[in-house]
Amino acid sequence: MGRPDAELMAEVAKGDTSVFREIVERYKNQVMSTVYRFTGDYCQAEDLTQEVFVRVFKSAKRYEPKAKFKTWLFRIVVNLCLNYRRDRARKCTQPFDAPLSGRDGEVVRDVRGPNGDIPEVALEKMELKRMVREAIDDLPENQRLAIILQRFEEMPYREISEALDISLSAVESLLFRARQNLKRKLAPYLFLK
Amino acid sequence: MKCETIRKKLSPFLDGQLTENDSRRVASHLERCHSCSREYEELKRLRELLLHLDMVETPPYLWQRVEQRISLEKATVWGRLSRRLVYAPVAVGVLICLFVGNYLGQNISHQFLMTEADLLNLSTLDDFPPGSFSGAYFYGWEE
Repeated sequence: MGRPDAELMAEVAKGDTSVFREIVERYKNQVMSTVYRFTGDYCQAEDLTQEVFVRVFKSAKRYEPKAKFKTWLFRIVVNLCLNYRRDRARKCTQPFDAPLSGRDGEVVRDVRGPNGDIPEVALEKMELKRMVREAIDDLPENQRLAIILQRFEEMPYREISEALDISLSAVESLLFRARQNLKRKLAPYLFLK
Repeated sequence: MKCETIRKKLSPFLDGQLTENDSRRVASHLERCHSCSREYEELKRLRELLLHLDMVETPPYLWQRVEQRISLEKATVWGRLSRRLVYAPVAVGVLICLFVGNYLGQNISHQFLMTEADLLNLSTLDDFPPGSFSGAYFYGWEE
C-alpha cells in the first residue's frame, strides 16, 4: 500500500502532476469500468474517464481529507454519468457488443470463448451478457448507478448514499427496486446452468 | 417478522449491510420460509449474473491524455490571465489620458475665459455712466 490518498491529494492541490499520476493509476480501472457499465459505450467511457480525472485535478483544492477520497471521486463519476445522458448524441456511438478490432477495450468479443469454450457455449454466454447489459440499461439512472456501485465497487450503503447524495433508506429502496426490475427482466436466465 | 418485511431486508442481508440482530432474524426466517428462501436464492443468482458485465481495460494512453488536457487547461487559464495583463496597462493609459486631458482642458478654458473677459473689460457694462439717459431711466435723475 502506497501513500494515503489524502496525502497525495494535498500535493495535487498544489499543482503537482507527477503525484496526480499516482492517483490516476490507482483508480483508473475502477472509474473506467464503472463508467463503461453505466454507458455501455467504450468510447464514451474513455472520454468520461478522462473528464473525471481532469475535474479531480481542477477541484483538488476543494477536497477535504475528512471525506473518503474514493467516495468524493465517485461523486464526480456519478455527476458526469448523469450529465452524459444529456449530451450523449454527440461523438462515437459504437454499439457495446460490436467487435472492436485491435482496440485495447473489452477483451471478450471473440466467438470462441475466452476459456476455449465451444462456439455454442460461447454464443450462449454472449447472449447472456447481452441480456444482462440490456437489463442494466433499462434501469432508471439512479437504480443503475446504485447497483453498479454496490455490485462492482462493493461500496457500503453509506458510501453509495454519499456518492449519490441521497439518504441511506433511499439507497436501500433503490437497490431493492433495481433488483426487482432486474429479476423480472432476467427471469429466464436466473437458473440456467 | 412478516414475509413482506423480510423481503425488503433481503437485499441488505445479501450485501452484508444489516445489523447483527437483523441478520440473525432474517437468517432464521429463511430457514423456516420456503417462499422467502426461494426469493433469496434468486437474488444470489442475480448477483452472479451481473458479473457478466465485464470490466474493461483502460487504454494505455489514458494518463497522457489526462496530462495533455490538464496542460491545455493550465494554458487556457494562463492565456486568459495574460490577455488581461496586456489589456490592463492599456486601460490604465486610457484612464490617465482622460484624467490629464480633462484637467488641462478645464485649466486652459478657464484661463482663456478670464483673458477674454479682461480684454473686453465687460465689467464696465455693469454700471451706467452718471447723467446718461440709461442711468436716468433705471435710477432716476440724481442731483
